[in-house]
Amino acid sequence: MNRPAEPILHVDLDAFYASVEVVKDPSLAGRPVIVGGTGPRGVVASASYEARRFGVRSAMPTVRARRLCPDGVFLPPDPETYRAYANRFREILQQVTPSVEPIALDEAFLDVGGATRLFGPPTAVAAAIRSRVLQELGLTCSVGVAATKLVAKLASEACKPDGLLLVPVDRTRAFLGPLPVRRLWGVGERTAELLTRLGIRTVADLARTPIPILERLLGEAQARQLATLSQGIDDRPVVPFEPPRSIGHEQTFERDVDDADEIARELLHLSHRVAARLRSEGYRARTVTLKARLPTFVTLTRSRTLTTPTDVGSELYAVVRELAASLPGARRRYRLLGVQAGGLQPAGAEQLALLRGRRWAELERAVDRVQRRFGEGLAQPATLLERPRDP
Amino acid sequence: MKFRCDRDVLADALQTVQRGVSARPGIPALTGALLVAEEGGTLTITTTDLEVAARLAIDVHVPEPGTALVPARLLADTVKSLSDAPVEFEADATQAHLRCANYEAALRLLPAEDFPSVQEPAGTAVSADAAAFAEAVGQVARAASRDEARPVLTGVLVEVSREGCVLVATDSYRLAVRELVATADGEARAIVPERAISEAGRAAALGDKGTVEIRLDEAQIAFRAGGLTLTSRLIEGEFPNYRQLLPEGHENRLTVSRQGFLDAVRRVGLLARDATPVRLEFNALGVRLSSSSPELGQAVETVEAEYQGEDLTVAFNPQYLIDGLQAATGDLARIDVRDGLKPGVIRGSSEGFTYLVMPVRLPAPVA
Repeated sequence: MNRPAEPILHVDLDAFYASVEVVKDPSLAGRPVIVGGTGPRGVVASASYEARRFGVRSAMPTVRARRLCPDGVFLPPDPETYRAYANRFREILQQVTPSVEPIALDEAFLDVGGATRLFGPPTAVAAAIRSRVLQELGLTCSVGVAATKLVAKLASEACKPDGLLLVPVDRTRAFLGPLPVRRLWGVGERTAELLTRLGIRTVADLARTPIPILERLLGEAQARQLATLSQGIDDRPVVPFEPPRSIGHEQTFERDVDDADEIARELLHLSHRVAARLRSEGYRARTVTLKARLPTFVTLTRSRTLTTPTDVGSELYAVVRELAASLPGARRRYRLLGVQAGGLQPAGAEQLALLRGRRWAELERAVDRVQRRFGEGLAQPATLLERPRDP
Repeated sequence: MKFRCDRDVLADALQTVQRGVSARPGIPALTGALLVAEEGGTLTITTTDLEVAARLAIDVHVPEPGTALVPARLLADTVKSLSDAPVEFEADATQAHLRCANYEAALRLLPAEDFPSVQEPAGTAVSADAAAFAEAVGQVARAASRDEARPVLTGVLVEVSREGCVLVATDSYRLAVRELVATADGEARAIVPERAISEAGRAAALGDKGTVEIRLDEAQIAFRAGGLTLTSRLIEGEFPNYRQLLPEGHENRLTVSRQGFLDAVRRVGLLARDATPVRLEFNALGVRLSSSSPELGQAVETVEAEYQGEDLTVAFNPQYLIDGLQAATGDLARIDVRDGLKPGVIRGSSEGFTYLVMPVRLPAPVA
């Protein structure tokens, strides 16, 4: 099958945070749900469509939202759950095509040009994504299908919530025409104001305006950009997210360390920092590298490949400690120590073990939650209590 | 030394003693098969790699008793290729002459005095039905680990009591336990290298004698079945306390055609990968299997079965399920599940075999 004319999908979860709250507590269904900071300076992070009817919008001060919607259900954000749902969402998208460009937790572009053999035309792919997201996450999403990222995104906005809209190539100009210019990428409040002065309010108005006039108003670069966008032309490809090659931390000491306990403590600290980052970014590492710089500036590295990839600090540390013991020299003195995790793979599904007792893993995840909530360094291995806090 | 025998008998014997014993090219004597011909017509062939030793006695005609250490692989290959006629073997101090029909060869011998003496354990004696033992080993050994980082898990636990014998293996992701009817003169516990016990199982399956005789002490175990004696060193260490892992009772049970379910897991599992296991959705109608991987595609199959319990979704590595379903016997398999994080239990129609398998935790919010 040839590459379809409209291979780009923009998938956007509807009122993401608020919808997740409704999945968590189905009794909220149909009620105006507003997620955001509940303090005096809090702002709305997400509002259900029921709340939007009262005029509540994202980024609005919560105080104002309360005035607009006094009977609304106001909830503090639950980032951990949102992240879990977002990961699952991402995973569904990844199962359709590896060509997924995430823009935010709750939205992404897909190029399904190569997936049509397996899943059918782009609209069928879009429909399949929508039904899987609903079935597996209990959330609705809107999908715009078009030839370009620009139009796909505008299409998904146009069909929100719970919609699917295909903008065929030959209908692109007709679709864009009536939209306010403000909706185009690169048109901010100030640009929109400048354009309005010339009577340019819609994309069609913009498309009709000769480029020299725009140039005088906006400068050459922006004028050209807007002129192209107004024709629905957008040649930016979908750029799939590239996972990092490795995650590492290193520490240069103010004075060289030579005390064995202190070295062990630094390595433990580095291992836990690396593990925490692996977990927060959703990876497990297959290789562990220890880096040690001597006072002479000679840098030594030692690596080990693990049988099972890990994101657990105590497991990283166990390897790092052995690597450190294998470094040459009887009396060890270091200027810098570093721990690096490589061979990263998405944490994804995890084979559970009967024996190894994933107790450390569970513990460290609990510590992650404590730190997210109450701040860094509030829960840590007891041996690190003696260690001076990072500046 | 001189003996004469049938080609097939010798060829089979040489092949048997070489299986289960790994090649150690570093130590010349260990590449040899020790042949001891005794008056009365017995030829004993021994091989060893220091961990496992195999010894097999066959009936031959012995005009002149004696001992020779012959390169094992070469001798086996040679005898196998001979024409179907009586084989004559005659050794002096340095070489062995092999004659068969019009063929004649002289093989250099290895120094027999370098061959380690194989001691056999004299501890607890156990006796079990050979066919049952072979079946039990086949069921359990597949769950042993291949990861040398934890040697204890690369072995099979043999637990002997007056009531019988239990074989256990686990690679920490699954656990297989088989109770075996046996008579024993005491109690004992040993961790046997997987390849040694698997070889003993194979010998027990082939042998026409009805029983397998086992003897074990602190350091070694010996299996005697069908003329073959396999002696192995034990793996040192503490085997995990498997009893505390076995769940008591069950909450959700699927009773399903074992072969039908096995075939479905195989088919659907073809589209599963590390990050995307096979999902099993249990409900009143049976079980729905699904798998998908981004670069390959997806598959779904529903298997009708009897299910008692709440609706559940649990994901497993398909190979682990296949191993468990193959190991279980009988037409029906019983599968108990608790939730997405607790082990599933597979049992066949007969009692005595239990296979635990840990699920794969899906990254989804299991809402």
